[in-house]
Amino acid sequence: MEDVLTLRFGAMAHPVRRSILETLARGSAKVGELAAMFALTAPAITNHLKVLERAGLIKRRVEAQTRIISLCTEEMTAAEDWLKDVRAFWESSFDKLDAHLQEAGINHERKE
Amino acid sequence: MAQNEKIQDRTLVISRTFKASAQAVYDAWTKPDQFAKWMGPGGYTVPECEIDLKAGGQFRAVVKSPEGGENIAAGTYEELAEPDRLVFTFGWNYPEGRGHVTAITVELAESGGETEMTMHQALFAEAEHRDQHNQGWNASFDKMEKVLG
Repeated sequence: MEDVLTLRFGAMAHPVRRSILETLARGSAKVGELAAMFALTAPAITNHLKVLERAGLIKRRVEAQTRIISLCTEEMTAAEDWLKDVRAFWESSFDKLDAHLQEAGINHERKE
Repeated sequence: MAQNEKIQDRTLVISRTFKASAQAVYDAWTKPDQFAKWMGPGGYTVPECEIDLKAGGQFRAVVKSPEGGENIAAGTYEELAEPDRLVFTFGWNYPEGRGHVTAITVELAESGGETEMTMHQALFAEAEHRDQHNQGWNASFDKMEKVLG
């Protein structure tokens, strides 16, 4: 069993699945529309959708016998929050490093 | 990422009919010596090409411009249904790192001694990249036509 972040980032570690997420960010789509976009077979698109669904990144609902896929925005926020935390940690570490280098009289340049 | 561009403007579909069997067109995509003969627009050459033809296998082709600049096209095979279709990821390796990766599906339908090839490529980072690839592939397919002829 994998932890939530491994599942989420693992699901995003494929160009087709990232493209699906990007497409869904514009609005929900039918399974057939997503399959047509990449000319993928039903089993192939189903596999990608399963990985995304297991990671909690998408949800599906059935309307008039058509499967509609949409993004789970709140789950995406969890991945985003994690990245923000990591960034904040390093930013503050680099701030401390800057201060330390300045105190030690070492010339340095920090690129953002 | 082009937030404002329509998804359909970042996808590419090219159809071509070749006077060849589906198997011949499939081979042109999957045999390194043949792929090297047509990949890249006129004047471009492929001095190196490696293909590990299996699901999960990778390909790598050095594409050299007439001016001598080299770019590397590389990707991973996802689905191989000889001789009707192949699916693979596709991206360019630049000195500064790997560029945006798209997925390509090539469908081949043979009838009456001809084969209709439909290539789908999605999702480009920008519509401009789609337009550049549209030109590049069409010029390459002109060469493929000669290789098959």
